[in-house]
Amino acid sequence: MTWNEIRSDLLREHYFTGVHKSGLPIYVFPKKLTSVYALFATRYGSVDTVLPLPDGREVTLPEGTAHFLEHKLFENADGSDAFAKFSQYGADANAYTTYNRTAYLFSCTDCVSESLRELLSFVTSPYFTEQTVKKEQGIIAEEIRMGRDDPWDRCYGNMVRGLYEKNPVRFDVCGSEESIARITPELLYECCRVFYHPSNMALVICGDVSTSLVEEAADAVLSEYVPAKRPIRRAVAEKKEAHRARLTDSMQVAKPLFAIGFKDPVIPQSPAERLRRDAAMTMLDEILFSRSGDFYNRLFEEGLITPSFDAGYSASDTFAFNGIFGESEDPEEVLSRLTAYLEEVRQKGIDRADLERCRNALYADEIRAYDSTDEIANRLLSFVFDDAEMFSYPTLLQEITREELQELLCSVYREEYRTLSVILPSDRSDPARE
Amino acid sequence: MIPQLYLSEFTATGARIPLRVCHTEKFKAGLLSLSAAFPIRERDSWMLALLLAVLRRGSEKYPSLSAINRRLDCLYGTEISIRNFYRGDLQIIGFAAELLDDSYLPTGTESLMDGVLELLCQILFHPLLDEEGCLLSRYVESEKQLHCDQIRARKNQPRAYAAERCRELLYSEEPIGISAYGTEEEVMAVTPRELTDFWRGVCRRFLPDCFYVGSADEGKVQSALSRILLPELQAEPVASPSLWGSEAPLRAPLRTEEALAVSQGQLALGFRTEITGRDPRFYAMAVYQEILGSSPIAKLMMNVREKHSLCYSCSSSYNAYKGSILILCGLKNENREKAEREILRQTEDIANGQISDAELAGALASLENAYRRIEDSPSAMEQYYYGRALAGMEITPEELRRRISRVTREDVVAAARTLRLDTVYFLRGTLEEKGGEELDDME
Repeated sequence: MTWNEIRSDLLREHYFTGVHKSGLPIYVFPKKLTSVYALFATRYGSVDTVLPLPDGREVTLPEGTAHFLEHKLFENADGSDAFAKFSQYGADANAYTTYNRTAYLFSCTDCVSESLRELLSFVTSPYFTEQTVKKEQGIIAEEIRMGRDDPWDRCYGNMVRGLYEKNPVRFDVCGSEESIARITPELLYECCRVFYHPSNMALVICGDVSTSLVEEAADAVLSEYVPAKRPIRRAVAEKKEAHRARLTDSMQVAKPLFAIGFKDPVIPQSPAERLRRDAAMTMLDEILFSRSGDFYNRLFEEGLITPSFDAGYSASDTFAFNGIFGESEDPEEVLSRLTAYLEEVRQKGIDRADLERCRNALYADEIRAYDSTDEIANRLLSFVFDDAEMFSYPTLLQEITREELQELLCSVYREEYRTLSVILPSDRSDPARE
Repeated sequence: MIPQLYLSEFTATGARIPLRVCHTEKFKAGLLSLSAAFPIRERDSWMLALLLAVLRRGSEKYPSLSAINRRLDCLYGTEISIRNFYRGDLQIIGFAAELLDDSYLPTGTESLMDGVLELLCQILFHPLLDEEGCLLSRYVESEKQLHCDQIRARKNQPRAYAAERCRELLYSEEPIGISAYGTEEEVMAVTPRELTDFWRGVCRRFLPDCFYVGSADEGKVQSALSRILLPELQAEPVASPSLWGSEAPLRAPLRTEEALAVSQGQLALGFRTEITGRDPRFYAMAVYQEILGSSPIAKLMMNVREKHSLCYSCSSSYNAYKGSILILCGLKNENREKAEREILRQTEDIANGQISDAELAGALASLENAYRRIEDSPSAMEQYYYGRALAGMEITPEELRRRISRVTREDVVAAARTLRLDTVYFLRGTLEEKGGEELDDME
């Protein structure tokens, strides 16, 4: 197979990329560290709820199917568990499912080739029965309960449900006890056939490894596959405005939690433009909401918010939103202060010194991200699945202009795109409902 | 191979300050930390937490939180983490900073190491004081409130709360069992004057261990510390306090249950063992802990979760400073007894020698992997070396791996037999029947 080398002089790093004859895109990032970290992932996550059947029909999948499948693939036909194999090699294996991907991974300090073959092999050798599916329903039901008891998870999930009416991003990645009860072995096999073809996947490996070792492992395990067309992820038609202005829930918390979401009205079709928008939004969040910024410090000094405060932008090809998270006795007051603050910055314009200070801080964060094999591999994978080039990101951070940021400030942070999710302590009533 | 670790000492007011430097060019960001150990004492335990939070609010030169944070941004987004944790019967406080390597900075940039040390000294030794020489009452009152918020917020994370409660009960008669939070009444009663006196006392006792990983050499680190930190230190030489406490009391298992408005129950089992980190059987106990609840094919995972579908998570952890093992399991209330029986069965099985070749080999390989990767992370290296230094056992990860690789099945069985159940804590979830509400109906 042909390898292309991608270099960054700024980061003093490079990686190799190529497409294996099975159709699998492979990324090898050499790094002289002791541990090797590998990810074998598919572009299939909780937002992919439509399964195309061979006869052209489509079925809607129960919520939580991608995550359920992630659990089940570790089980082999002979009743053994993939974890046992990795354990022999001293490798630590795991997996995770997000809105738009499912990733299987291991990290090890020895037996790289053996672990890599096991990774490629167990993920592409599904085995399910009625009985094993039933057993997993009990385990995942407990995982769902665990998530339900996490107030920050609930506050975040409610914010996303407040922003989106139809987009499946509003479903919990794990699904519900009711939805996972509808999952059958046949459905899981069908999902594997459609979403787990190497052409729809990627292998990313970081550490002291050679391209030939990786290619040999792919040759050995994936010889039966030929390149195929990727299933298309269709965006669900959705209005630009937020679905709800406000969502309130109550739980076992000491102080109310809040999440203020802004649905991004624009999702560029071109991956390069999406990446630029992501970099700009990240920079804007840093300027507006970082711990050195005015908003955090004013509200904190007044006792309106606590050190649990954060903001971040999440984007993919079918959804994009910005979230501001914190704890406050009075989330409504935080919201009105936010509105006033955004108006103030719009009027005055972004401070040039603030902008450069934040640019430096983000530049340093970017460089620090290249010190560990797991961080590098996960980062590279997310760029790959966004069809973007990772090394262009630090350059983008240098290029984004003040005018671009001002434009975003005016077009995204608008009331009609906004939702407020609040978790109240169980013993308090919701003032808005009275 | 882990790069060579240089250990040197420099002196301040007659006291010796250990400096550990690991010179390596493999990281883009290095690590600098200062940590000091104090015996855990009633009141001091939470006063230290409150004090550190107040100090972080403002100094003479950087008088507000935003001034400190802006200064950090100018030091290329360096983050300072404040540390405050227990190790054995000691409370460790200190600071750690991740420093971007000089070679990635534009030429002419000030030295980040000097800048960070200067800021740390400002925070610790030069807080903002009022005309009477007192910590600002505005900052003290605000941090008292935030500290009380934290006390109340402990129940926000049921799993961590159950683990914490089990530990408190397990160590109820030892210094490590002293609450790191205090009560709301105690905290609210502290005056700025009391906290200021306490701060002066801490300064007189602050003798840090210094640790650095990165591309600067030993001489450069020592020079920066001598120029910037040394003139600030006031501490007199004292004997280092010991991390090792007295033997745990023998008692019948203590059973406690609490209820909380959450949907999942949390079962926590606390065990004691006479084997601590300074026992020659420590290596066997580390292997035991992997087989029981830590390795990817641990018995708790394979049986309580995979075979009986009783939970999503079930795992154990070993505190080698105290000689204790804590098992945590999140489950439905109705499965509580079944899960406890199943967990105890796993501990008995190991004590009866039921360890497969794969389990033993897997545990050894998993530990080998974990100790080898220490050299991939500055913070893992710091944790390893500082932890060993506190314990008074300076052993390299290579030597430790060699000793673990020699552990036999018989050693593990013998270690397993020292375990005795001490505490059973159950957090009953009272929302179990509810849940799965349709949110759209809630507005």
